Amino acid sequence: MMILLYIIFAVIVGLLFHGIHRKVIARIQTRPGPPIWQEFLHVMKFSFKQTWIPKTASKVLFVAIVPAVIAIWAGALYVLFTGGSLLVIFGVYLLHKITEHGLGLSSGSPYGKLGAIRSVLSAASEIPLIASIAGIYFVTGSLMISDIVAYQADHGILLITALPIALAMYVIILSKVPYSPFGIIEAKEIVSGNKTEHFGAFRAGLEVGFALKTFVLLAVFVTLFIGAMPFWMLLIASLILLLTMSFICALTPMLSPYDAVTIQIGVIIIVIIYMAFIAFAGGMP
Amino acid sequence: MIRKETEKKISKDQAKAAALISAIICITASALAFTGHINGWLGAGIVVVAFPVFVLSLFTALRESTKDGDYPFVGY
Repeated sequence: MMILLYIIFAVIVGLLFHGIHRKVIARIQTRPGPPIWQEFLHVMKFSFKQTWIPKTASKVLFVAIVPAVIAIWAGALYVLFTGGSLLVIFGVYLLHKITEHGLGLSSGSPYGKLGAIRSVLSAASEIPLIASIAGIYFVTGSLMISDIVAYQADHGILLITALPIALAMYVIILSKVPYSPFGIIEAKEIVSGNKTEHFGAFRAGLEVGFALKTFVLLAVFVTLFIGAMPFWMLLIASLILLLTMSFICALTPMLSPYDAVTIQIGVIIIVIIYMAFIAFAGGMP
Repeated sequence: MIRKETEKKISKDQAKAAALISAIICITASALAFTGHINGWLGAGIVVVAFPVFVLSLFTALRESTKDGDYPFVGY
């Protein structure tokens, strides 16, 4: 497999997805919105701009966090396409939380620090992820993505047979797309939150990393809950999934940090009730 | 002043060289993994490390010119 080509393709599609996401949100809100290639222009714009490190920054962390974001999601992409372990994807997600903290704390900016603190608060979003992964194991008996895909070929897609688990994963991905109601770490009242001081080449690198992240998370959801399909169909399914999120993002205001955490805990309660139901019923319905 | 200090550390030429070297590493590792000369996981590991370096160094190489620009015409 030409891993490099897949990574470059995922970056391009991820940036395009971000642009489509913005466009759809704008059209729902009866605004013209930017062109769908706006995120490419953003990356170019940032890379041509001045790049420096603030005096207050922890220099090594400030710089190293950017390649770390790109590297972890590039690794996750490889794990996904080779049908590796879901635990590795979970580990990457946790590492991403650490990079969110690191981004904000490394700059020394009060806005960045506030974004990092909110990132710690929103760590409750890992709870639905744990519930989702535990639920998938409970239902399929394996955490290997290849086994989960094979299970769906025999027993039907998990999106229908294990809807509450899919709902938990959906909330996780929703919390990570731009302009999400759960996106408290980069809310406008704290400028750009944890990304505030990263600009120039660093911000362009971050945009590349976040494009990879969006592509991987959407593809993970489609693979885990719909199953194996041709690559072009995976792209279309990912786009449809993103569009549903665009509607939510367009119609829902930014939640307060405490409301965001409450909803995420509500999701895990639904999953626990569902798993208890399966356990008492003696297997999958 | 801060800007000049930062730019002294990484010149555009150094960034271009880093971008070129990391791109070569990425392409070589990916091709070797594809043809089966090295283990797929090893190839992916090398690409995962080299690709972010390529991205950052490319963007650093693209940054704005360090030369002084023309003074804008301010009128007579």
